[in-house]
Amino acid sequence: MSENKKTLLSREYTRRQFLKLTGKGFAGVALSSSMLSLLGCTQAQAEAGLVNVIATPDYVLVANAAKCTGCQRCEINCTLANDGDCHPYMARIHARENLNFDKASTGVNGVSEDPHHGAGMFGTWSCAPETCHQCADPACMNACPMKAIYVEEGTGVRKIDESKCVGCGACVAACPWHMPRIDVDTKKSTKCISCGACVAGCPTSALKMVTWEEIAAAL
Amino acid sequence: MYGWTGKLLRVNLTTKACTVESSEKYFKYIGGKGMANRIMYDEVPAGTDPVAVENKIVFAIGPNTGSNAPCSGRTDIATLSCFTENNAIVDAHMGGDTAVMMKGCGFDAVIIEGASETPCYIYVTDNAAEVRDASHIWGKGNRETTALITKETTAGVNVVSIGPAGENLVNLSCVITGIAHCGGAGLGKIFGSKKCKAIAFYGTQGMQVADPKKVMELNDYVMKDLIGSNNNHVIPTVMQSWSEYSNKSSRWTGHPGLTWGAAEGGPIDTGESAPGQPTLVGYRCQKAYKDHGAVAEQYTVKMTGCATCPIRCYGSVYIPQMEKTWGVVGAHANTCLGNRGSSIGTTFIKNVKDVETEGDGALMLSIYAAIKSDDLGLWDNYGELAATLGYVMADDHKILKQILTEEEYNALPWDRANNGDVNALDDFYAALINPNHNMYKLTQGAYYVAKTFPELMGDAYLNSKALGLWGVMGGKKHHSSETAAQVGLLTNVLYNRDGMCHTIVNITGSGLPYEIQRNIIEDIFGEGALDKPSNYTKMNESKAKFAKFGVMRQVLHDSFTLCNWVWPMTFSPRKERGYRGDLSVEAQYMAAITGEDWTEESLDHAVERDIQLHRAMTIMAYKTTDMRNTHDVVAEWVYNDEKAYTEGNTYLSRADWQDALTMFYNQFGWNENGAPTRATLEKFDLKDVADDLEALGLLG
Repeated sequence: MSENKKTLLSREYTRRQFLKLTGKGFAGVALSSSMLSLLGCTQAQAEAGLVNVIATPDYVLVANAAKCTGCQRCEINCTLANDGDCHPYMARIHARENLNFDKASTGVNGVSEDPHHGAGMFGTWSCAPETCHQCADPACMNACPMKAIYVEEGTGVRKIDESKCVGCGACVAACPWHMPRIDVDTKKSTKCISCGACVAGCPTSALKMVTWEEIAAAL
Repeated sequence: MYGWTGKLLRVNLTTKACTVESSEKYFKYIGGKGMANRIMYDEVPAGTDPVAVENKIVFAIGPNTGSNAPCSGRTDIATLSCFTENNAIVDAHMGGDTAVMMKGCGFDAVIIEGASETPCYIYVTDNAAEVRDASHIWGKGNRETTALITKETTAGVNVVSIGPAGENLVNLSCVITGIAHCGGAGLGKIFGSKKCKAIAFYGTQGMQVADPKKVMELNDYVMKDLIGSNNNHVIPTVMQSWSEYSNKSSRWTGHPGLTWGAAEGGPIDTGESAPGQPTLVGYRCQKAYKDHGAVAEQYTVKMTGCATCPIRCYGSVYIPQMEKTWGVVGAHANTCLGNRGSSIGTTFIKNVKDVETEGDGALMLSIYAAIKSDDLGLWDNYGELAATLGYVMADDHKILKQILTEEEYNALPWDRANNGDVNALDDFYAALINPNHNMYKLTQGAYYVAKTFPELMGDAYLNSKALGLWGVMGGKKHHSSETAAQVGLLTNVLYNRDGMCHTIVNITGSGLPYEIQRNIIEDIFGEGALDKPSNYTKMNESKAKFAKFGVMRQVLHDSFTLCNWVWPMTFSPRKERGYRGDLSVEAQYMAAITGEDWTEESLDHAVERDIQLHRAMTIMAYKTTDMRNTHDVVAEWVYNDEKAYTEGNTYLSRADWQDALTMFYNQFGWNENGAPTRATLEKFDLKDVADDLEALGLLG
């Protein structure tokens, strides 16, 4: 067995163990101090549902709403690193639309009947960026009529083959979180490739990438 | 096109026409303030009444805006002053998310002209805009206005609006965007005069940069090696494992044991954030604690602030008890929580009882007053309005009782106010913004208050330390002679409002020992540039150069755009750099973004062009070249000829101040009374301005 394959199997084992531990969230799960340290959160934050953990094949992406201050640097860092421009709307991480009001609320454009008790800057300050979940069964990939979305060998990252993409937007519609965006310049779909630029530039460590090797050590 | 978008939007509120034009002819003014001022020069004659239909409002951003250079989310808004002498050109500076959204819409500038007959708001999207009816929003507070416009447009929209204060043409009224960011300078009244309730931005376009790799390298460099905390304070308040010094007055308050006490899921420790750790920079400034002390820590949910800024300087508090006690959702944020309406609150409301813990009553009063003030869009002008109210309320309200009718005075809830009833503040605010109430006359700005009540207040009020103007033209002190002696005061005299220059105070407040500050500053500007605090010496050429640097960088930042509350990077938190910063970074960004060959010198040249233009516009408004004896006259509280230059005070002498002005004027190539000459203007490619001044008999 090659070293690469061994690594992938080891990661997959750790990932399963981790998902078994966390299920769909952290509610009622007692996390070890080393795991809390690794994820950069407290037990209380985890139990309150503030810590969004996205288990990708390569790593765990942690987005902690308690630490997010709404600066939106993650968005521009994303496009500077990936596209060579400053283009927050096209970022693969979305911070802006939940900033003032809670987009997920039942109100029009996130403005609920009582926005001042809700999330966002017009509420009581809760906010956090949304990012690609790198789903095990990606709705974006399944919906693409051109088969332009594929799983990259080795990393497991869901990527877009721009030579095949026709910018139809089916992936945007299919994604439960509408994470892919159709680039206004290239007219191609674009999505997170787990480069880590957003994490590296987050000034309050509200975003964090933790490798499976680190998780394995903490489990 | 790199950096700039190359387009400006013109919105005519009279005809409702929205048109797109090229902005390229304004690039030599950099952007932001420089661009907005030149547009005003070209399109609004000096002497125009600020509320006349001919006055305009210009929003402008620069090539750096939205580049993700730390703190690159500032907007400049230029118009004519409604609250200082001769209604000369002023800029309101605003953070928040407007600048980045405006660039996303594809505009370097937005010109709002004409006036609507009925309430309206402007909705700006990609390369387009429309004027919409706002009849149903007129009269509402800023928070509800933002919610309603968001519902009518899209999630994520940025709304810049006025409240009832602006609608009622209060001179000291502002616009608000987001929960707390605002633009001062009486801008609310100008919006109100045009029946413009708001301008909203939602853009999806990107900004091209010539060398993205270099921009990212610069970002990394600034974040790891140069940036400190708010006001670029580079020394923490408490010794940390990595630090060589501590300084209790610093705004780098974050340290182990100090928390965001009301963070979701439990307190978050601000901890250590040593240089070289860009993912911890946002914990350095716990501003709620800085502003209101330990009692505020427990209510701090997090720190927030402007788009692209890693220095999170907005203490963001939530005090649940306020709703039960006073009927207001107790969520508020600001970079100066004790400012804005807070000082008005403490002027009126006395003897507030604590609710749960010692000191929480005073905190809640402050937050309540700020929430209400922001919602009304009332602008306290850095404490000026509170100082005016304090002045007329001295000696058992002696002056106030002569300003108000007996009926007006007796109708105000003084007993409730004296017994700590915070809700009584609502009645005082209502009077302040009511054009039919004599209290309204106190919101005109100090210059016009003095003119309205020449016997009761007049020059004694205008020159008083209690009011704290830098200049008798009505400019509030916003860092002055208490900051580096003549240098701090000189940074005000270019402006037609409070100077808002932070270049110098960022240095003196950095937290570094004086000797280190002095050595670095003297290396740049020469011997004697930086006096010891409260131990001043007479004016010298090094100080004149230092003062020029102060305003040059401020104008650069307001034009580029960057936040002058953090920039420039004069110092660094790194001991291994000898705490020396890097003043070439802005030029490096300019070159990387535009792909053009910019140096510190060429950028300085462009900045000085903006300053020369601004000075010419001021002279045209004043109709005299004698700036020394008109516009640049400072308030009397600055002087004490006997005590000046002795240890333990910050006074200046009258004669020395005149020397200071002379040396400062020389730095800019102005004549002995502070007016630009033809040679100076032509050096900066402003021949047409020189011609205009000459035609008016106003050339220096």
